[in-house]
Order: sequence, then C-alpha cells, then structure tokens
Amino acid sequence: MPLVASTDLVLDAVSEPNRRRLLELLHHGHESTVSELVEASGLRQPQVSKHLKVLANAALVTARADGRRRHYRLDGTGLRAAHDWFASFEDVWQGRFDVLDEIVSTDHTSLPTQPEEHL
Amino acid sequence: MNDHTDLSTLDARRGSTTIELSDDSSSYQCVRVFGAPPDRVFRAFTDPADLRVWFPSGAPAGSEMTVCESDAVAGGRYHYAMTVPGHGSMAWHGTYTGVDRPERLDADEWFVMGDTDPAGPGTAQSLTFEPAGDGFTLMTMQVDMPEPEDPEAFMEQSAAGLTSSLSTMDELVSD
Repeated sequence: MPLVASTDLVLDAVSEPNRRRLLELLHHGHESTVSELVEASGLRQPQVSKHLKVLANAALVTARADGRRRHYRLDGTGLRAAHDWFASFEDVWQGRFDVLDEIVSTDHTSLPTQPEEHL
Repeated sequence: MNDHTDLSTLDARRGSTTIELSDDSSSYQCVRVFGAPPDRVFRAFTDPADLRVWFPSGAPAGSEMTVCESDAVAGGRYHYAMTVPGHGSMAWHGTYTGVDRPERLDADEWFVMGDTDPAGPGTAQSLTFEPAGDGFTLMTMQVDMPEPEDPEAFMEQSAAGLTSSLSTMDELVSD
C-alpha cells in the first residue's frame, strides 16, 4: 500500500479506462499522433488530447514535436512506477495471508491472544 | 470436488497466493490454500482478534491498525482503519450482504483515504472456503470492481485494474 508522490499521479492516470486504452494503442503503434489515436480509439479529439495531457503529466507518455504535429509514445518512467506499485500490492496479500495461515494452522480451537509485535 | 483438492496440488499451492485479473479488468480473483479447516479460516476473516494480527501485517513498519470492527451477520458492518507512516490514515468500510458460515462470505466494500466517508459504488467481494484435503481450506476471493472513475476510491478497490496493461508494462520495464 505504500505510495510515493509520482505513484499517485500514475495510478490516477491509469484509473480511467479510456486512458488505459490509449496506453495500449501506443504500445501497439509504438508512436502515434493525436489524430491517429482519435481514429484508433473512437474517442473525440478533445478527449484524446485531455487524456494525453494527464498521461504525460504522470510520465506515462512523452511527446516529440515534428513541425506542427506531436508524436506520442510510451514513457517507461510512469509504467515502472505502476508496475512496482502493483508488485507491492501482491506482496501485501502474500504477507497478510502468510500470517493468517500461521494463525489458523497453529490454533484450530481457541482465540489467539494479540501479540503486540505484529501490530 | 475439483482438481484443487488433489493433495499434491494442494501441497504445491499452500503458502502461495495467486491473483488473477479478469480479461476486462473489472474483477480479480485471489486464491490461497490455508492449513486449517474452513470454519477456522472463516473465523480468521471475521473475528477482530484475528484480523488485528493478520490484516495489517503486510503494511510498512510503524503502521497501526486503529479500528477493527466486524459484525459478521447478513446486513452487519465492518470497519477497519489503519495509519501508515508517511501516508496518513486509510479505512475499509464494508457491509456483509451474505453470511453462510463457514462456506461463504459476501460483502460490499468501500476503501477511503483519510477520514472521508465512503461514497459512490463499492467493490463486491465474495469469499468462499472449500474443504480441501487434509484439514485444509481452499479460499477464493472474488473482487468485482466498479468503473474506477474516482481516483479517491481507486487505490485498493481497483488496484488490479491498472494491470490491464501489466504484460505491456512487463515488456517495457524489462527493456
């Protein structure tokens, strides 16, 4: 469950399904312009631009200027933060359930006392 | 009975928690084998004395469970709260929607950061406890998530939602 500041931004950004869709499209297309993303996603242009701004702010995408056009691609910085965070989520469940297993398999009958060192 | 109850499989599974995300990222399933019969495992999930020990155990050092209440009857509530150093307080508010001791536990749950009240759609959670082999229990936790539109409600509820692109991420971060 621990979060650092940048992880907050990343998780907020990927919590929106259309933004996850854009990330997937960028993965497949490697690099795309806004209009290419509009066509592939079926979203409207203002929506795509807005989502890209949020994704860029979270270091999930970067843009490269080419004349008047901007080419977007995935940025590993934000993805790495999300990936690390999810790994910690799995670790939390694993850790919890290891302790739960210890409780139930050593005490089948009576309630355990509360060991302070676990709290 | 199914292949989960095969003893050699059980031995292999015990101690390992698997989390699987559905294809559309709207739910995830967590499976774990515990070394006690279903009634004991059921109790560990509903008795505050047990919950206080295991629930905060994955949290960072210095974390404290400040509230741990659970009334495991249909329509009953539960409320867990923790403070985590550097991250403030967080709370889990739940309503038991079905209690079938010791086989099944259903609840709607809302996770909130800080002291805010739960709002919006919660997650629907179903826990099943199947007897498995030598006094063991196969626990399956199914969590159905609402559309994760609200960042405040996002963290625990749709933690797995972000993994719709996990394989993508894996490829990228292992570059």
